Amino acid sequence: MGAITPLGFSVSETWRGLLAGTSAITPLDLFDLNGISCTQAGQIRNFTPPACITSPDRATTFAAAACIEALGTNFKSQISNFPIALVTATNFGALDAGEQALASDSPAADAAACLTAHAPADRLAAALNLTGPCATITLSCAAGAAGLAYAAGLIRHGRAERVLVVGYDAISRFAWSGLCALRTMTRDRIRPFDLNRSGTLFSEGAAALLLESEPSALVRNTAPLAELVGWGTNNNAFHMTAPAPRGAGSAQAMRQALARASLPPEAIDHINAHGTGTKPNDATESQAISDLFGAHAPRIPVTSIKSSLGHMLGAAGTIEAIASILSLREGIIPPTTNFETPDPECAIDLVANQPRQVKLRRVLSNSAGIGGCNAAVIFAGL
Amino acid sequence: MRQTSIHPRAERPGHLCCSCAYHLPTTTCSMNDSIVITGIGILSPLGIGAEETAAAWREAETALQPCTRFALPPGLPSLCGEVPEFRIEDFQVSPKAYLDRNSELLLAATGMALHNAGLDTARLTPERTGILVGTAWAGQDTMTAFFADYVQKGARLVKPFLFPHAYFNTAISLAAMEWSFRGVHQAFASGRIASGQAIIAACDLLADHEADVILAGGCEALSPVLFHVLAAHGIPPGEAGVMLVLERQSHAKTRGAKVLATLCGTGVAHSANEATRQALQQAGMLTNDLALVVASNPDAETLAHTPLSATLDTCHCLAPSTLCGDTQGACTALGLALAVLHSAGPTLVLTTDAAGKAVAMVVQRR
Repeated sequence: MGAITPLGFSVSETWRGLLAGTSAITPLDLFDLNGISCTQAGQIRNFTPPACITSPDRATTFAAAACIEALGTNFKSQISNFPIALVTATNFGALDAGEQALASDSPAADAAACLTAHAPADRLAAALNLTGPCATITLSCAAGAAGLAYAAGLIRHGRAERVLVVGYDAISRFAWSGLCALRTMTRDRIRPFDLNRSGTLFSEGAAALLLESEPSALVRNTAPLAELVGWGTNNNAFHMTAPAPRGAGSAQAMRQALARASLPPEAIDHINAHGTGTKPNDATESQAISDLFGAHAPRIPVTSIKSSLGHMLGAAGTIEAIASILSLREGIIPPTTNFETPDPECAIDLVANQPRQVKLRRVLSNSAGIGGCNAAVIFAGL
Repeated sequence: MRQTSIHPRAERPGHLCCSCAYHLPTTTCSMNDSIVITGIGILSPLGIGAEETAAAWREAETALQPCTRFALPPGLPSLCGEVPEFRIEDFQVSPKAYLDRNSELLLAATGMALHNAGLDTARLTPERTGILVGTAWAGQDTMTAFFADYVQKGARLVKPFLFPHAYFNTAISLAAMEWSFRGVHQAFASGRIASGQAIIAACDLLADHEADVILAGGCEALSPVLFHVLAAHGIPPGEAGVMLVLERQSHAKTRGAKVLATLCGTGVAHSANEATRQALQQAGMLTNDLALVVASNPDAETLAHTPLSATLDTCHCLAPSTLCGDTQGACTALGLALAVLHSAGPTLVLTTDAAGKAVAMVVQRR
């Protein structure tokens, strides 16, 4: 696993920050905010791109660094022996560089190529010499989890033995003005599931996981961290930006993941929630959990790491998958920070303000995104 | 922190595939159930609909013409493949306050595919009906319009309603909403192979009984930026919306659907050679068995590095791009649809891109 986040430039630094409840949110100074009232973000600062990648955008360099950590320090020798597929997951791709092309009548071909989401993937595959299939998943903020689902399918159907999945995004003027216009951002702190929550805050960065078949891990003589046992993606078919009533689509994606894993709802010990901190998301996600898990729901500790980290867009699903795996392995759930007042509409067992130690066997990570997309993945301990 | 292991699960029990109103008995869901194509929706520079497109394809009539949809800077080649004018309301699409060209193409193709397959969406179980779509550029006209406001008027005066239409998954989401596709859902933006990846992933999901019916394909709309990028390569850009209705053969049979073609083998890889090898192997065929190759890039250099090299002299090879332009993310879906409409024998559809990515599929028309 690998991570470049506003909390740190590695999985371990990020994890320490999450357990400590550190806030990654700071005033945004990447560009002139040009009158935008939303001024707080999880901005990556003082980041040095890895030497192996040259890219006009910041997003691809975040992804490259996360991939390199996931592959390990001796990845070059490993890659020559074991072909690896690449699945990138993003909302905006290299748009932080591509937006120059949007504003030009005669854009240079290189800048214009940054308007596609596959250009970063192609650049990453070339820089890291990844010679397996290469795909880009763009399921808005569910992209990271959807990328894991797609990668799992590639392995299951023998199309790849090893798949590097990286979710990533960078803050750009385009994305920031749009997300602000949607009125999803708060001027307060992010307070997922709190009665007085008033919106989310966005972050940038990347998070990567290397998935491989069990035989592949055995051949490489490497110890797996967890097992991906279930996955599901779907659409609410309801509204472009509003969640479905009672989170029906979200519940269905989680149900798909349970069915894929042949598990009953009672088998889930913890949920790493999408938990954006917006009024509609947190209420409907809570209702989805209640409806799907029934009497077991009050016994499932739920957390949202977005309260510390912010919403990492295309990387949200993969960084939350990493947190889920670390919770499984270490028996500790990072807290949902900034929580003050329970909301009757969010009747869940929230891990509020302090980490919670608990033995876990299976963790579900839930994601959703603009366009009504949902994705859920389930990890099991080994 | 290092590798995460994924352990492929055992095959799913057959009973999970049988919740739709077409009353598919569980016993008919064998693990070797073929994936078949039962509907095609196609809007391409060759025409609107299967018949018009097939006729133009048979006649090898070029659809390339100077761009009429928008003005291009002087000096930029304007030759392109434009989809002829169409009315979105003719394709069972409800009125919309705003639709960009990319979304129009996908919605129209989806409506056409459903009609062509004789599918009544009211009889489908929404949770068992999925949609997977590929595109390379998505709604560039929306992105440009949105950012023009940012540049000209300032960040506070951008149009909020445009932003949700500026995502790569906008068109697929609109299609899911239009026809209540609440099942499996994936949006690919992998460049020229995107719709091929969508179709192959759909085959895998159907084989896993994760859905009963999946709409899969791709869409790409012309935009000025596409001319700038492709001009450097000397390739005229094209646009298209192509959607296929895929289902297991047993499901198609039970609902009495006409099967247009069987997807016999698929491959996805980082080389044309490997993708072709996988597709032929899965189909249980040799290159000699192929009647036709539909290739995105039919140059001898690309094909010489595939198992096809030995049979290039005897096997017909056609390239839709020579008639339609490079339809980018819709390219594979277009090639597959044309193969189904045209070829009597087993056909290999092969798509490659400049980065070396490739998808291949063997299709046999019924």
